[in-house]
Amino acid sequence: MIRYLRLWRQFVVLALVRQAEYRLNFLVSVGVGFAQLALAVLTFLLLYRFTNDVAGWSRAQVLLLLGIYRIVEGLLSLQIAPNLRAIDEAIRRGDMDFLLLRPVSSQFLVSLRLLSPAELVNVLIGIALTICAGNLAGVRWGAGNIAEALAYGLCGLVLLYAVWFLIVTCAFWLVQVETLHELFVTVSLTAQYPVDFFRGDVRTFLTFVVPVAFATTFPTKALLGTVQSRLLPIGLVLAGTALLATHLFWGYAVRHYSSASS
Amino acid sequence: MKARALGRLTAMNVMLTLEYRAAVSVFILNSVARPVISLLIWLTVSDQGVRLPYGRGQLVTYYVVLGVVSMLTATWLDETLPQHIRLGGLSPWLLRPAPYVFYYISENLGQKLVNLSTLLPLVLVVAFAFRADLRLPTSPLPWLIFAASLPLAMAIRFLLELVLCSLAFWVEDVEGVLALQSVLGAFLAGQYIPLALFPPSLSGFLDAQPFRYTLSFPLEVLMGTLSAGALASGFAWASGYCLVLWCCCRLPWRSGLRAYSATGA
Amino acid sequence: MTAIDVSDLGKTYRYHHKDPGLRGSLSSLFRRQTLEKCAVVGVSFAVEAGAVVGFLGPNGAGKTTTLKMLCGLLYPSHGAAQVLGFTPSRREPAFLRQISLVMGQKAMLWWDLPAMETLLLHKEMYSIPSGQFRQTVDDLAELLDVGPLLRVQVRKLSLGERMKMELLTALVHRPAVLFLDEPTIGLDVVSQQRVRDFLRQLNREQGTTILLTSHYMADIEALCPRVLLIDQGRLHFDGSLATLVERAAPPKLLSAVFARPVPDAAIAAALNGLPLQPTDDPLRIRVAVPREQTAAVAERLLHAGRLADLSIEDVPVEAIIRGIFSETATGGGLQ
Repeated sequence: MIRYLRLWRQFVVLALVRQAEYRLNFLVSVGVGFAQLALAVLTFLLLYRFTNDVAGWSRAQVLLLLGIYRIVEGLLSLQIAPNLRAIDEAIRRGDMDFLLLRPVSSQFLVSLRLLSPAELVNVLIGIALTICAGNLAGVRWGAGNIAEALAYGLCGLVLLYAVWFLIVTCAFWLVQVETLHELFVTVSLTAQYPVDFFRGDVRTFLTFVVPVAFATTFPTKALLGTVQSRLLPIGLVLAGTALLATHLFWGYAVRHYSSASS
Repeated sequence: MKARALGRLTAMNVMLTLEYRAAVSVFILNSVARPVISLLIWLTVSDQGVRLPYGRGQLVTYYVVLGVVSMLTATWLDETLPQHIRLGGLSPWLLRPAPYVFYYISENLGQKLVNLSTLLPLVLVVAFAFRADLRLPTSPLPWLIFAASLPLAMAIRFLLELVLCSLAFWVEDVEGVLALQSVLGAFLAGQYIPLALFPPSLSGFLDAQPFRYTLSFPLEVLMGTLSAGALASGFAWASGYCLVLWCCCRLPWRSGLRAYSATGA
Repeated sequence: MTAIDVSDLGKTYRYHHKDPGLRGSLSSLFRRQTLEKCAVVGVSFAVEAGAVVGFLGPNGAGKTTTLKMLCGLLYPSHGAAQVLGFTPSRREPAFLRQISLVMGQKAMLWWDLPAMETLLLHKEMYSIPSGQFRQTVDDLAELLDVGPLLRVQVRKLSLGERMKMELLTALVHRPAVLFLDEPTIGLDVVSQQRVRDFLRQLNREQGTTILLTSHYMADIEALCPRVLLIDQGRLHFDGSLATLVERAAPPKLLSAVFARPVPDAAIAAALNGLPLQPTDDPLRIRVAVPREQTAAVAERLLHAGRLADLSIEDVPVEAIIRGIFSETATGGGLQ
């Protein structure tokens, strides 16, 4: 366990060293993140020009959710996205061979070895927005609801990782996975909105199939004190099961892997 | 001869795209999914009884057709051209008898042909799901005018990206500029929210700016929300932008190519 | 002690066939023809600990596939392999800690970082104690003469330097078995020599079992007392290089330069039916002569005319091997 933590720390160091090389890239990442946030805020402002309440959510509450979305999305882009996007290229180029040869869990390596430090800025912006909007929405900041929100958020992150990972593992069989990434990213865009904005069947889909609800809606509701407490154990069980599923599927995929010709 | 070359290049690009069969269908799914998400949000608002500039019918029509038009006018130059310029990928095309820009046009058309073949069935599925509210013109004239607005839309987007890509001859990182243009342009074109839903004080500016003609204008034509006068002035603006952009293209490309060949990339 | 034990190991790949042209692309959307390729038919051999063995074979022979099955990267279609007492395809951490793979055409080093960073990563992955790590890095860096390059970005190194870094990185955890796939490919002659010298020294001093594949004859000649000849997925020969050459019974190359032109008939008589190889110079002849006839033909040539120069050489090993491969390709073999 400690070994894996030390290994992860080394990944962080490598990522920082690399990021220092690509300063312009850093600025572009931050710029794009900023632009996307501005776009989302503008969208909501336009939406709320016509009404003060959409599906029971006020403007301040929706901006609070947006802040949380920024944090979650930032964390995904920081740690998960660079790795999952690199899997199919690693397979094509044959780098996967080396990853499978190390005496360390290959799923761990393949999921966590790359980081995008620039995204940390987006996470911080998200935190700032969360605090501002939270105050506007009348959130009573306390250890209880913050911890609850964090728990939901963690479930959501793990679930999103699992779904994305399962999709991407198909890279062992499909030629091009680039657009599968886009499909996942598109669906996870719905995390910007409260699931209550969607119809019943879509809401169920977004809670249990691609669980964006756990990633943003439930943490927001936890902070606001309006979440149903039975959802948390469900979320934890789902997260655990999903993680197990990734482990099993990855093992299966690797067994059928025929590495790129020399 | 040039037409044949273009035809052959397009066919080859179609083949390349078909190779990745799973990928094609998923990309298309994507172009349909995003507008549907936006539509669902606006319908939720509308169903609450809120009065919007667009009724249910118009919202549905707008977002259902959005995917097709957006795809037809799309450009992917930013994925390949700056890199080609930087790393010398332009060279083989400079040696061939057909103008280099043919490669990029054919690549564009090839991709679109394939995308369209998988996009249309999906759009039909979505259209069927929302058929109760879909309001498409029944007479041929609006469709013809709509068809006429599409080439202008395609040209504006293509030329704009061509101009920006030419910066790659002198600037190291053009991708950032292109990304910004892409995000901003999409917003101003009505990709996420119909321009009619923006604050009325901005309508003058929004109607005149070039991005409107890459997406929103064709959709407005189809939805029948434009008067004859508005149609005429719209086409005038669109053609004007095409001309201006085409002129803007020539100088940077000519001098850029000269510099490119001089350094022997 | 046997380090590697292989018994009837085989691997078959499945791939798709596509007709050319647009119609082919369209039809492949609906129906794909799946074909099988047998990369390795069934090989059996054993390697003692501390041995250096070379896999020789043309491209596509199955060398790399066999190697990858021994590393555990590929799941064999049939047969069994044991490396250091482990079944490679199970890829147990205890097994992976004791082996290492270097591929000439693929790099394991992180491209835009100095090699030292990747080494530190390996230190964590293989749980190497700090003291041992420092010592090993210093020793290897000195042997390979790359000390000052450890802190230079890998992409700024030359191909030869990069290869040495790859070797260093692969050996930092002191594996018992080292697998090398085309390690000298693309390197200049000097670098190739250095790499071979290093590997020889490594084997001598550390007792590392080395298994390498190559289609460069020079690698095999310099390093491997034992050669496994693989072609079309089958093992055609297992033994020393000298035995291989002997079995192939290659001819000798005879080259003679006459002082004055000699009539063709006289030459033909001396050669007794052996075909001449074409030469630019009318005074020079070249001919491949079966070993047993060499002395007789040479004597007859001496009597055919006045010789200015006569040389008798061995056919280069390269050509011998090529000859064997073309024979195995047509279904022939070694006698």
